[in-house]
Amino acid sequence: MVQEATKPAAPPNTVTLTIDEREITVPKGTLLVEAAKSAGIDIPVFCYEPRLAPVGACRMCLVEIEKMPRLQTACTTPVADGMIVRTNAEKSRAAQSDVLGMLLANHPLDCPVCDKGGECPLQDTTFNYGPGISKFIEPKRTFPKPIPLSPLIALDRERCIMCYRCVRFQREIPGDEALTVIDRGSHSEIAVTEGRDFDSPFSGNTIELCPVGALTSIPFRFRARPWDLTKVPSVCDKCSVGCNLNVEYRNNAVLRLTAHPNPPVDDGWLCDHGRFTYDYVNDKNRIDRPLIRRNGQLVPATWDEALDLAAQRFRDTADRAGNDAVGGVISARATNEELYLFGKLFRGALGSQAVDHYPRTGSAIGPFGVDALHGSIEALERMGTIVLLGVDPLKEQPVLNLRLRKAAKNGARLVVVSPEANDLDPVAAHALRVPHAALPTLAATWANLIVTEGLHDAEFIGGRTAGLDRARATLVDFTVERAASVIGLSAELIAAVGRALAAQGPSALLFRRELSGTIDHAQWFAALNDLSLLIGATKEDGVFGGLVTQNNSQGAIDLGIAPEGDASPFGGKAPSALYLLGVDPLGDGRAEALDGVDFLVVQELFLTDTARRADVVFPAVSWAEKEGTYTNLERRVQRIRPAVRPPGEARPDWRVIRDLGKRLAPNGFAFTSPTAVWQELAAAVPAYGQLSYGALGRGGQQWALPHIGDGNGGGRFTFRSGDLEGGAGR
Amino acid sequence: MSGAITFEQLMPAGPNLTEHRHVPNMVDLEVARSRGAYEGLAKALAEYTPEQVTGVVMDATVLGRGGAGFPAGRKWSFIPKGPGQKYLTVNADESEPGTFSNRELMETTPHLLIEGIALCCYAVGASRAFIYIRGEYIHAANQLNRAIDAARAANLLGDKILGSDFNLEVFVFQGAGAYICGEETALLESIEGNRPMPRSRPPFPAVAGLYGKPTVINNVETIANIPAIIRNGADWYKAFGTPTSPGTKVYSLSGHVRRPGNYELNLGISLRDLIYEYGQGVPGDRAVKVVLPSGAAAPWIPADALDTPMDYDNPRKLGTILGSASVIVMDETVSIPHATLRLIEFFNHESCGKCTPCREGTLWLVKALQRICAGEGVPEDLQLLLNVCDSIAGKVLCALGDFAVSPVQSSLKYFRHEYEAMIPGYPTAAPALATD
Ligand SMILES: Cc1cc2nc3c(=O)[nH]c(=O)nc-3n(C[C@H](O)[C@H](O)[C@H](O)COP(=O)(O)O)c2cc1C
Ligand code: SF4
Ligand code: SF4
Ligand code: SF4
Ligand code: FES
Repeated sequence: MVQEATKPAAPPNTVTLTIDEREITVPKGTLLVEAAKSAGIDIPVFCYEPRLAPVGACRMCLVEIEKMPRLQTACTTPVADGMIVRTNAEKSRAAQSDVLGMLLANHPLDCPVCDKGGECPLQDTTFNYGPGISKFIEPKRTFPKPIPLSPLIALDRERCIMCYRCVRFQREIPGDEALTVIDRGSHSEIAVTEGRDFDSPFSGNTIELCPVGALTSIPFRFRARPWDLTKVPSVCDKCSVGCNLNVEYRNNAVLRLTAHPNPPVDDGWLCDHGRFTYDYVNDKNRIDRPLIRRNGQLVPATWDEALDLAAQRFRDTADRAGNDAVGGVISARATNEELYLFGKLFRGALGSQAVDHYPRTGSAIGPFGVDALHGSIEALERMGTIVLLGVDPLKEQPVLNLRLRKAAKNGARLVVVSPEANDLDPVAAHALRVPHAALPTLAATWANLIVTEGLHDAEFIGGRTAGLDRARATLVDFTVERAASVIGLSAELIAAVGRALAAQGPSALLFRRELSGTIDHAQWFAALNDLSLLIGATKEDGVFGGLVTQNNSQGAIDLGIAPEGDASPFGGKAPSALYLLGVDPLGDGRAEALDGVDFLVVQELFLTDTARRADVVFPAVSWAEKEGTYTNLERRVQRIRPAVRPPGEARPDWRVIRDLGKRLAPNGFAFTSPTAVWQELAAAVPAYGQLSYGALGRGGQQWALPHIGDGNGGGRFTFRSGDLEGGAGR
Repeated sequence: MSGAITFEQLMPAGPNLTEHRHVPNMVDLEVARSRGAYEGLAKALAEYTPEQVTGVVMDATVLGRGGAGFPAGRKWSFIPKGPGQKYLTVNADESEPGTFSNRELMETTPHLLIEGIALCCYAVGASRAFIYIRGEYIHAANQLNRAIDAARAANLLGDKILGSDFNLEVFVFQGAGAYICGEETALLESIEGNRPMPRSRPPFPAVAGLYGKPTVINNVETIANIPAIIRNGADWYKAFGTPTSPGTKVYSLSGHVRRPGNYELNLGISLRDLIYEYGQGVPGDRAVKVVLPSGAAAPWIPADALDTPMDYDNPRKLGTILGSASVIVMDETVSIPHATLRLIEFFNHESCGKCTPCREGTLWLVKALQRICAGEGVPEDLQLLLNVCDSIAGKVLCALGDFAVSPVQSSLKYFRHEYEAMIPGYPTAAPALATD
């Protein structure tokens, strides 16, 4: 036995207690249920959910604590030094069994027809902790069968065990009161709050939080039993957050998407857009074979015919009209491997600079010389101040919006500056209505105010940055009074918020890259860079960057899939031959992009308006059918995996690009898999070269910013506005 | 007229809380001040530090009159010292069946409560107090509001009270009409505009109460005791009642008695004296069958224990509590299973539904008792009732669930035969019951 005296002293801020005869040391403030879990001791719970505030409602987690006369709920009781806890002794076992008996008394036990059957915590807990037989002989409480709470979610009140997770989720995480409890006591019911709709963009999370089959997905209801589904972990491709999910399928059809928690990215949440947008994958109208135009009609062709034709015409056009006469635009939703191959096809095989991604992300080089987010999504939770300039995460990066709410709850002061009402206004310390056109002025004004009043961290600015004096000279005209007259807010308010930004503590600055109207974006980014330095957002503990919107916009930036100069195939002089991968200018109201194009190749899931105009159509495959990597808004590279087979003769997109490359270049396209493409890509792009491919499939990995590299805060940052001779945008 | 008994004689004034119950117009500040109102406040502000006020109250050992009997002075001492918002909420929800003493106190002598509030707030450093009053108590709420306005106009509330640095605003909050609103944390939820559902503790209200701030919650009568204690000292107070239960208590007497009403008496009076001396006995001189010492909530006291002193200690020997001292008398005409069913229906109806054992268990008890009372019981039912009670008691989130089992447990303890008589085939068909 270890001698008392030789025991290592417990680290500070920890508590040592005994659970089921085992001594456990955990951080102060840990809840008993978590302390037990850390030691591998399972305490049954229903209402407890680590991401929601504990309520102690279901009473499933009752445990014995020495010297306490009553059983205590492990989910609400914080640990204390010397506590002696028994989770499995007779008293707690009896209580757990009693509570289960109560829950089951009025439960319909219609497991065979319940969507939750097979993955139901109530079923599992009953099996492990429940009473053998029910003594309840009274008629059960009945409700008319399921009612829709929304077009997506149905509620079966008979199955509800009143754990309030759904109500608590809505209130605590997205912060709305869409759901409520009506009536009282044994008549309590979950319901949509009177006068509201359950139209939260995060409503689907309640289905997964519900520990019984009370909340079910209407699109999924009765489509399959959980145990008949196969799950493949992947990454959502609907926006730049890159939430992790499981693609669950049966008979080669995607039947549902569920969260596959990757806490630093998504905290285990999905938005409804990400969760419920999958029917298109199973759509019978997908293009399932190559098509070529013959006698004015698109008709089926073999892969070789289609590839040969496209390659031949690209080569002919380049020979006849110059290399840049062949252009290509690839969706910003394509994988890194596809983007890389696409770039190589144009720049390497065809020698064309006319290659781009769409929607195109305007470049926003930070003061550290890289166009990427400094910091991370998770770091936002630790901020003292977060400034949002012109961004609307609820609409564009939904799950990021939840992280920002969490940050506010943790005490961050949010400053929300946007042209319209923003979902974050109610949790913000300051919410300012400012039109896009005035944002550059506002940013420059705040930078000027902070530097003029000396509110910045002089040590950091003096030791780690260059160009302050030039910036100061450029900013000098941006007075609070002038800003007030431009923006239409009072000078006092502008000054007060500006001073609040300068408060010490980790700070974040997130901004919109493309402002609408006639904006001098160079001045916008320069002012942002100055401001980020002055408020310390570029320090090691800060966050700074322009939010990208598409699931792989960042990858397209990192891989340089954008033209030099005015060679853009979109917006500039249209090329004679154009290859569009997942891009639909006609559908997007940009018909002019096709003016002058006399040979069009389109790779698409569906016969879009643009595809109907094409000379060659390649079937594309969806994200659920392919392998590759995406880079999210915090430059985290994550791996997606194929779940289902693409329809008909459709082939993975990377293969199509490769096969064109093989036809257009003597070598350099001999890849046999996306992994092989990754290897070449990683060798070519230094930031990606540091990543471990294995880690990309296990939560992903952020590529390292060069200025953070040495970990000693060695990097230097440059003020930018001084670079813009004369200060544009005055 | 000579032969008529006056109301004053029927309902005698007590020494402290009800001393001025018969004085007309005590809501009028001048009348109240002529009877000593706010003298305690003036004294405290002039002579005592806040800590000293708490000290006197602690010394007097004022046990909480809302039911749990927790010493008020100790409760106040848990409020953190130093700056920061703190609150007092006065529990005037008074929804326990058979409880009506707070109402009379607020209607007749509202300044007594307000002075007590000011003293408590001075002691704990609270600048805001809420009186959470049962929604039906409209007259009492009006009286309180009138009194508050008058006190404010006289600088007995508001800023710099009586020239001191002490500021206080008092608000009357009319309740949302549910028994559970009287549970202290449900009450806080209700003031905050939420569904009145009890909170899980810790954190306790003294640490994080109303709007997350340190909060004292006391019953009306607890607070109304304070002015006289400050005026007269702790020793004066301790001369009433018993050594461990000092002071007087307003007993609300109802049920089968000739003269129901509020009686302010020394703590420790026996049930027999209360019922026969003050309540004038049972109509028709029928026998007392059982007494409910604290409304619907506490375990019962059988007729053979009427000599039990009703203080904070002695009822415990019978497995029950003084609680709110709202004594309901049931005479021999009462059918115990029916009375029990009625009480359980009350608890089932009032259960907030937050926690499983109370929400489901009270419904289960109702259904089983309904069956038994309808003559459809089976012999196993009596053990079943006890088992369900065991599954509720001690496992619930708030005391309502614990209260809910007392009628079933008490009735089966003292009147099991009445149930047996209702169950067809009992006891011949009875299985061997667990004996423990
Ligand atoms: C269901 C329930 C109802 C209650 N109702 C009241 C009430 O109406 N008035 C009251 O003072 N206390 C009531 N209480 C007790 C309060 O929770 C609390 O203990 C009391 O207000 C504290 O004040 P005291 O220390 O002055 O007694 C109730 C408790 C429960 C569980
Ligand atoms: S519907 Fe589900 S999540 Fe909501 S309270 Fe009922 S059981 Fe809990
Ligand atoms: S936030 Fe973006 S990545 Fe996450 S689920 Fe929604 S659409 Fe998908
Ligand atoms: S014991 Fe009853 S009243 Fe109290 S919290 Fe639980 S359900 Fe609500
Ligand atoms: S899990 Fe602890 S009370 Fe529900």
